[in-house]
Amino acid sequence: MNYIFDGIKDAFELIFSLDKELYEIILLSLFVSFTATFISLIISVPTGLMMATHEFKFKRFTSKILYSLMGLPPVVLGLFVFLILARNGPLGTFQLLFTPSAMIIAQVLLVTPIITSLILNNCSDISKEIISTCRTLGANRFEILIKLIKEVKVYLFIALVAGFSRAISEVGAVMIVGGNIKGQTRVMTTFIALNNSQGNYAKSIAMGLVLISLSFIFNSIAYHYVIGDKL
Amino acid sequence: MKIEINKLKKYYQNKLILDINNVVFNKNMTYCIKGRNGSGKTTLLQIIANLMLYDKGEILYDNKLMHYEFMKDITYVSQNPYIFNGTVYDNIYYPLKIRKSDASKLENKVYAYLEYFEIDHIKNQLAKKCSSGEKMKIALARSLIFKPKLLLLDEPTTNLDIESIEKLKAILLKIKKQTTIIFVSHQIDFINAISDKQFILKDTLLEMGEKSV
Ligand SMILES: Nc1ncnc2c1ncn2[C@@H]1O[C@H](COP(=O)(O)OP(=O)(O)OP(=O)(O)O)[C@@H](O)[C@H]1O
Ligand SMILES: [Mg+2]
Repeated sequence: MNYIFDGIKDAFELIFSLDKELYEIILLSLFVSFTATFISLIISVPTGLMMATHEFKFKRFTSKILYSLMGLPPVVLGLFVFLILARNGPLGTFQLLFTPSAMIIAQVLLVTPIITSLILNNCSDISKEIISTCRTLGANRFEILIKLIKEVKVYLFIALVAGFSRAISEVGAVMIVGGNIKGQTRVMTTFIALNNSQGNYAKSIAMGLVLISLSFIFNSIAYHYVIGDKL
Repeated sequence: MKIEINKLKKYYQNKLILDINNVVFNKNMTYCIKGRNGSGKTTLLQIIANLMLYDKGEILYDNKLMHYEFMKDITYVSQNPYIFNGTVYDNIYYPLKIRKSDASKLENKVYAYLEYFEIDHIKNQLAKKCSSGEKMKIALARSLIFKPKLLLLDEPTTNLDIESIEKLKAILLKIKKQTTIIFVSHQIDFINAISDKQFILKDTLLEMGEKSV
């Protein structure tokens, strides 16, 4: 049992000693996942809202596919991105494998279906009502769009937090496409996995604590905006 | 605004809901549409409001087909209206804001409606938290404030108390000379007080009804 308490003690020492390696990894993780979530948002918000507010052929089918993609195993997705980016692969000439860009690409693919699907499911009914109401009050297309985004921003935010949480806590895909290279593509989750397998419990516990705190912070912000508003 | 419906058909999943051969709603007249639950009254109002597609036929607005410019003069108040985030004031102010009318006069206008419907004491309250009756009043004020030429009301008296129904009656009587009003209601007193003509929607058909006692 002692290794646990020693691990926790050493972990706090590491965190408060501002260990350079630790903080570089945290920053890289945040950078990769923020960028990936941001790119996903640019894709998902228009797509999700378009799908929510329009009727088109295969709507149910598309929504089903999106839903299944939400549960795609990250390792498989990582493998897929790996094959595409590998030196002999279709995008091999860009030499992106084992770079942060590769990790961003993998996370974008992982998170976009989640965000799109959440927006679609949460906004479908309410969006139609909002659009009808705006139209009966004489709003034009642009004014309707502005109002729509203002009215559903809570749902956009829920989707954003869910997407980001998924991105930052994911190991499999970033391990495969990033390669967990020290100082280059090592992120929080791969750091934990590596140090744990090497028996450096203090380091893995320290990073685990940081990861938990970060996701706690993001989720409480979400709670504050979303559920706190409704209670 | 004059409305003319020609050979209109509306289906929901192959089930015929509306089959209206020819009906004219004349300019600045007030019409009531009665009918049993599920007879298609809401569907008809939403079609006239250009919120819902129909399958056959045409509707003419002042002898023209629907054009998006008309939407500025048409309004529809739903049975359970959607209320925007923000305060009661913000909700009623919205149609004026998008019309960019003279800013100095706006506030007074909003206050006039808030006072008329006796919701001025909650003007800064979050509108989503209002009671059903209060929400109906917000929706009515929000639609009346920009002086539409065609006013479509779907059971506006539901959730309103007796005094508020009287207020609604009074304001509709006041504006009916400049507005075409088509409303759905089950309240005989209310119907008789404001309608010039009555229709009954029954078995997909819209028929002229005699004025009931
Ligand atoms: N989106 C829809 N899909 C399928 N059926 C629908 C849809 N909307 C309405 N209906 C059906 O069409 C019929 C007419 O509905 P509508 O809401 O127009 O009735 P209504 O006369 O307004 O009834 P109420 O007095 O209860 O408000 C009902 O039988 C309803 O079940
Ligand atoms: Mg109805």
